[in-house]
Amino acid sequence: MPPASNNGVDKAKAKAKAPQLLALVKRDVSSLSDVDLNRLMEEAKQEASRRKRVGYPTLPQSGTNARSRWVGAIAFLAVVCFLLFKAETSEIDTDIAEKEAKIAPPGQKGAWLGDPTPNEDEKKKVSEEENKNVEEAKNNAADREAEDKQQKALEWVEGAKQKDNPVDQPTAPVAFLSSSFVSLDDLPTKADDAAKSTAFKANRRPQIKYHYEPRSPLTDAATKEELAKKWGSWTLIDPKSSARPKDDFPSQFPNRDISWNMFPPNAWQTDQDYLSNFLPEATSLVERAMEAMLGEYGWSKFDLPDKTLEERVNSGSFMVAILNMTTDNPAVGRGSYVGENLGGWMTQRFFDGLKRRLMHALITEDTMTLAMGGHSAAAGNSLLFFSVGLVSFCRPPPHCALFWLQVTGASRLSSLLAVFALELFGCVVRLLTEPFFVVGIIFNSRTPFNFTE
Amino acid sequence: MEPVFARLGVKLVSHNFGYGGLGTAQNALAAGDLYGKEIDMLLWDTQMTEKCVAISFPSPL
Repeated sequence: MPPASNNGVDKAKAKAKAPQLLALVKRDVSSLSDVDLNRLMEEAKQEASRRKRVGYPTLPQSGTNARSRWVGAIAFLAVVCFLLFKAETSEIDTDIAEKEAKIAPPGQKGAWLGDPTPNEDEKKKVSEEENKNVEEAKNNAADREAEDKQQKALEWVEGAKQKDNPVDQPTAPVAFLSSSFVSLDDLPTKADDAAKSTAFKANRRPQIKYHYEPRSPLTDAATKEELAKKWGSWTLIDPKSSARPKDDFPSQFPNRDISWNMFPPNAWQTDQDYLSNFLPEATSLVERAMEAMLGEYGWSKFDLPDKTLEERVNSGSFMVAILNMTTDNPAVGRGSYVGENLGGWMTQRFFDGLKRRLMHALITEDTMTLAMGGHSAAAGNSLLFFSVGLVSFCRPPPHCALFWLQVTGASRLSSLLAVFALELFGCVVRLLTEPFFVVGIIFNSRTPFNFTE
Repeated sequence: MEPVFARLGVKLVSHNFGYGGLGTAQNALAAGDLYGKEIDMLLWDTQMTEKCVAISFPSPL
């Protein structure tokens, strides 16, 4: 066994080699002649003298640069800290001034702050007034927000009416660019007059914050009622909804695979009365969804009243073929399964798995996750994401919303450069649905694209 | 489809992972990390990039 050594160095071997090394050095030195040895020693003395006289030119200079950098960095940090402190102090001063203006009586501005030992009554009074002011401010903000939303909805409706009936209201101003909504139809073009362009710039869309912004006007109640009458609607109301379990009990089991006898007794999954009403209603809902898709292509029950739902589905390019990968002739191009009568293909295994996953998600109230891959046309890139293979709506989490960027006008280049800089640090950016708007930035390496849900 | 699933008690999450100019092989190499290992359904449109042989809609999982 070799002796223990540190850091993998065998000390015994090194010690054994040491005399050989020493002998080698001695032999080299001894092989020099006296003349050479004297010359080398003289040169070494001259070099030492020269270095002593002129010093080491590079090392001190390098040290000076390093020191300069440190001094510069410290100075920069000091300036930044000072500016931050100044900004914070300014905000505090402003806040105090606002409180003074609200609370202190006229002519005694700041007096309430000057008394270091206010009595309990004064404290209580000030606290009550503060709370009252805060509540009033909240109520006013909520009222303003509600009024803004209502006003925007009205503007959209008015705008749609004017577009549909330009003759009826020729002189009414176009509902152009409210503070939060921008329609592509409203974007100014070269043909528009300068006033419209100026109005667009003045009412530029505000910085995007964390909120879901519908891209189309909301359906009003009357239209909803009319649609429900024509197409049907969800009518099931659970009479025991208040008695249903509120906690997410399937989450206590791996993969939410809860056993049938582990459901709480008041769960809807085990309520026979509820299920007898729920299942027909759910079937109707799915059929309505299918009808809506067929209707988009002109195959609805109103377009083809003489055909059943099954006939319409089977006759259009909405069916997906089920292939047997072991018995089907591979020489037949899979492209033959796409066309007027088929929309693609899948396997029986996939179909069985899909049914099982859907049932599992339904019973355990789980998440159903769909992903679409493929080329740019499937993604919708070439049509500015207006025609996508899988419609998805971006709803990023708050920490992503902080990094949303508005890429319009003159700031387009700088914003894009910032986006690329973020990308270098692991962020991935995706352009989606609206031109020149970067709407999705996420940090999760597992899903490095637009976060949608 | 999100409201339909929501009415049935299921939260639907959809991801548009379409790429421009890339075929299937480039993404298949790291599909698990790219598309997520917990996805329930993967739709794959190869019409533009693999139009010679295979055009699939839902890919088998």
